[in-house]
This record gives sequence, structure tokens and C-alpha cells, in this order.
Amino acid sequence: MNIYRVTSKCLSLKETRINKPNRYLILGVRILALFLSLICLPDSIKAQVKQVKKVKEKTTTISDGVVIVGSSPTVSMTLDGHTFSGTLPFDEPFQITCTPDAADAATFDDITGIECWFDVKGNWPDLEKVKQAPQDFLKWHITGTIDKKGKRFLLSIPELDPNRNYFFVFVIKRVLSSGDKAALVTKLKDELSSAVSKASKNGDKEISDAQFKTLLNNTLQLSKKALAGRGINVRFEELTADQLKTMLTALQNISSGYKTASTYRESVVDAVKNVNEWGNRLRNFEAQFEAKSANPAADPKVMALKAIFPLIPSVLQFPDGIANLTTPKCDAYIIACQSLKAAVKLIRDTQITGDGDFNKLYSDIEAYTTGLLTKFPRFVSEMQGIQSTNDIETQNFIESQADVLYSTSYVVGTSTPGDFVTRSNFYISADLGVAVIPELGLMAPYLGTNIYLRPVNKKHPLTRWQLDERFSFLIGLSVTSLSKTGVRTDLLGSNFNLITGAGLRVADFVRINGGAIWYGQRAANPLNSQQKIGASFFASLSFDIDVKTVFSALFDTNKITLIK
Amino acid sequence: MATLLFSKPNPSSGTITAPGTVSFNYTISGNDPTDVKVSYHLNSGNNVYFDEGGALVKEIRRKIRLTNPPLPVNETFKIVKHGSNPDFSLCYINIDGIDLNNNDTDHEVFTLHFV
Repeated sequence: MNIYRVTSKCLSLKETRINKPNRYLILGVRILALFLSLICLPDSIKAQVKQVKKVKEKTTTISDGVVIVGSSPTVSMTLDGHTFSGTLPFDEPFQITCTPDAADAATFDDITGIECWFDVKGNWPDLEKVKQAPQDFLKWHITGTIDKKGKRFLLSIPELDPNRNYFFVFVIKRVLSSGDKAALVTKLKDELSSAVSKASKNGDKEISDAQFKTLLNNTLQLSKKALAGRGINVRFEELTADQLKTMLTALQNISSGYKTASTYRESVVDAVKNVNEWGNRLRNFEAQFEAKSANPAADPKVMALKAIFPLIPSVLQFPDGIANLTTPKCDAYIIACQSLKAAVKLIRDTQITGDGDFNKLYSDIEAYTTGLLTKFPRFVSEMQGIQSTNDIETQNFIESQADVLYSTSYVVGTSTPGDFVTRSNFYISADLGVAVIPELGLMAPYLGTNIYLRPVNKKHPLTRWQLDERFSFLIGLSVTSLSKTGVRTDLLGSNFNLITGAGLRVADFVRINGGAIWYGQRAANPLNSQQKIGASFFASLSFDIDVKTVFSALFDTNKITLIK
Repeated sequence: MATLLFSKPNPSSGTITAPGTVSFNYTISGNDPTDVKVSYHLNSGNNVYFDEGGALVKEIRRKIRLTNPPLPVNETFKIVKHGSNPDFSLCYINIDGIDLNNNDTDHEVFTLHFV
């Protein structure tokens, strides 16, 4: 209302007739004066402009060399929160920025690239499918930029339509954090080694290329499952030949570990078989020895030989399998071997000396137990080495997938601009115009309100003939009197008349309009004091009231005063 | 008495394009003196063979008189791929030894990669 009052003061023209050229000049000057006067007046409009500037992000230099020129609104987002910081701008490009932090599944240091698919949210029956394969469902695709200095990523989003809910899927190419690697190695190493061990029958069987191919596919699925457990997806179809080779080599190295362990186990098994055979020969020897004795029950040699037998079973049962190769069990087995060897030696040295047959038995058991004391620890060492080999190769297996790992995050955003009051700002604009009324032979300046049928973002330059961005209804007040004694009176007060109509924006801030101007119509009979409402067609050219900011840069206060 | 013991082959693995040759060496420890039978054999299920003077064989045997152990052994084999058995890009030369005087054994393995 302040605007209207001041405007009416500035315009002192009571009536402007079109057939008087000097009045056109006066009218034009006064309209210009009106524009310039507005520069100084509406604080609310100034505040609005400041607010727009506040949310804009100025030229940003990206550390990897990409420069985003110009300014655009910015909307920030959180990955795990699945939220934007506010309403999405419409009809103008904007930026999405995200600074991943420790609370997110992927921190900035894990991220190597960002891609975004988005579209108006549809009624998809399975949202998970959209998240997993956004390229199959969502129309728009944007590749983002990594801002290493700012530890964030940015995406430049083109103009969105207003009043829509948009579904964004962010595909974040990533590497594994050290925590991810450690957790995945822990999770996968047993599964990988188990799969390899099963395929190679604990190293006893070689694995053909065809079997390795199957094994690789199976282990990739294990890996996929383990990664999914940490919120990480993988695109195996993007693995390169070199990456697949690395993964295959990892499996082959695990396989070779089992093969070597199996080979050393075979040496232990052979030695144990020899000890078993030796035990049978010793029993025969003892039986023959016993037969020669007059009183075997009291014969110290027979008793010494019999004392050996209980020591043999402990040597025949060597700890096997990684779960049983504990230090106490391995130490106990070594002691059992040493005990058997020592017991036999003791008999040879003290009880049965100089017996050729027993000397041969001793010689053999010495060789076998000495072998076990060397070959069993070698087997244990190799089995334990498999564990570290598995750790290393599982890590290689996982790391070779680094380039095809990604995480997804989705965000639903709306381009419906805020609450009722906020939305009204996008539907309604104010114009200052000049109406030509042919029927009355008059021109009349007016202040109009344009009511759009959709929200209009005036920051978005008009580049296309989109009717809904250009068309609006018009309602306003002419701010000069149309009264003519005995013919017309002003409809509102002493200067104002109602203007209704519709118009089209022909440029960002220029509009052509048409409609009816409403005024008081006196009866033809001067004795009849009754008054009706009359209307006449008008056509007008109007300027958006925000254009006054342009004039503020062109004209200073002195010039405005001079014009006045 | 000593046990029969092979050292780990050096190198422990080789990469070849078949046909090609692989070489490795190792030592044999054991009784002094004794006779040791050493055999090098390839898995019967693969298409990898030793080329022994033009004959394709799966096993090559050596009889060694072991004196003054440890005895260094150097071996070079020509390896070929032949036949319709499944292809293997990874296989092993198994080194098996037995002391012929007491049946004491030992085993080692050489890993063979094909490119």
C-alpha cells in the first residue's frame, strides 16, 4: 500500500489525452520518475534480493582443475541422512554439494568419483531396483566433481520443473578404507581358503583353468555378499582382465599354499606309516625274544621292550588340520616322538646291546623319529604359513576390486517452493505498466499484480516459449484519474480505477497485456445522478517492478531529482 | 642315522610358455651312504608332460647314490602341453624321494605357471 500511495503522489497527472503530444512527453517522464522513485522505497524487495544473494555460491575453483564459472544456488545434502538442506530450486540450474563425514558409509577419502541419476519420482513398485540400477529408471545423469580442497563433491543440476518430487540416486565410486579392508579380510579369508581347499581337496588335487573360472565366480559372489554387508556394491562386469588376473593369481597362490602343505603332510604321513610298520616289527621281535626267555614276566629285557609299545600310538596320531595345530598339541607330539626315540635308545644302550636285529630296529626308528622331528614342524610351519598367505592373498583379492566398488545413496527432494507464503511469491509478481485505452482516447499508468498458474522463478531467464512460464492473469489499479465531468468518475477514490486482464511475458521483465479497465459511468441524462460501472478495453506494456534494481545502477539520486 | 630330507627347490616356482624349460636345484640329505630313488611326476589329469628326449612322459625317475650329504641336485626339464586333457595354467612338479635302505621318504614340490 505504501507503494501505491507514493506512486500516486509522484504522478500528478489527472488526465492524459492521446491527441496532445506534449502530454505524452510529460507522461513518459513521470513514468520514468516513478520507476526511479521505487528504487528508494520498498525495503521488502531489497530484503528479498539480499536473500537470493545469500544462498548463491560464487565462482568456485576446484582443486583438480575444474572451474565452475558463474553463480548458482546451492543445495547441500547428506549421504546417509538422505536429505537435502532445503527445497530444490526450479527453472534454474543449481549445485548440489555434499561433504561426507565419518558418520557416512563413505567418507571423503574413500570417494573417487560421483555420478547422479535423477528424475521425477514415479510410483515404482520396487524402489530397491531403482536404487540398484538407476540408469534403467531415471532419465537424467550427471557426473559430479570432486573438490579435494573442500573435501566435498559437487553436482551441477540443470533446471527442474516446479512442484515436483524428484528422486536422486547418487552412485559413489569408492575405494576401501583401512577399516573396510581389515573387516573384509577377516570375513572373507576363511571363505576363500575354504572354497580353494574344497576345490583342491586340501591341496591333493590340481585345479584346472575351467575349475578356477568356476571358483573365481563363486568367490566373487562371496566377496559381493561380504561387501554388501558393509554397504558397498560392486560392478564385476567392469573388472578389467588385469584385475581378474590378479584375483585369479590370489586364488592360485592360496591353492599353492595348500599344495605345499599337502606335500609336507605327505612326508609326515609316510614317516608315521613307517613308525607303525616299525611297531609291528618290534612286536614280532619282542614275541621272539619273549619265547626265548625262561621267565618272561620277570625278564627285564622283555619288560623293557613291552614298555615301548604304549609310546607308539602317540606318535601315530599326529595333530592334523589347522584347528588342531595348536602349540600345546604340537609340543606334545614332538615330546612323544622324542620319548619313543629315547626309550628305544635306552634299551639298545642298556638292555639289548650288541643285537644286530635290534640295532636295525633302532636305526630305523631313529631315522623315522628324527624325520618326524624335522618334517612335522615343517608341515606345521607351512600350515601356519597358509594363514598369512590367505591374509595377503585375500587382501589382494579384495583390493583388486577397488575400481569397481561403489556405494549408493538416494535422496528425495521437492521443487515445491516452501509454505503458502513462500509459494505465493513465486505465483505473484508486481508490474508497473502503461495502458492504452482506445475507447477513451487515454493512456493510464498502473500498478498491476500478475497471477501465474504455476510458480515462476524470475531468476531463470526466459529462453523458451513455455506458455505457463509467460502467461498470467492481471489485476491492478490505474494510478491516474480517468474521470471526465459528467461522463466518468474514478472507481476508487479520486484517482484509481480497476484493471483486470491477462498478459504474456515477452522478455524477462517486459510484459504485454490486455483486458478491461473499470471506472464509474455516469448516465447520459445530466439529471440522472445514478452511476454504473463501465469498462473499456486496454492494451498495455508493463515492466516487472523488480527492474528498479537496474535503474538504481543507472541513475543516482541527483538524476532522479532532476527529472522530478 | 639320518632322515631323508629334501631342501625346498630354488627357485620354488617357474613361469613358462609351453613348450619351455624349467630349471631348479635342491639338496638331498640323509644317510651316508645310501641309495635314494627320486621321481619327478606331473598330475595325470592335466595336459602337461615332460619331453624326455622326444618321449612325452608324466614321470621321470632318478636313482642317486647319496654320499657326503647334503648332495646338490640340479634339474632341467622340458615341458610341453599335449593331448585333450583339461588345460591347467597352474600345475606342480612333485618331487618324491625314498631311501631305499629304510623306506624313509620325503617330498617337495615345484610350482609351474603357464602364460
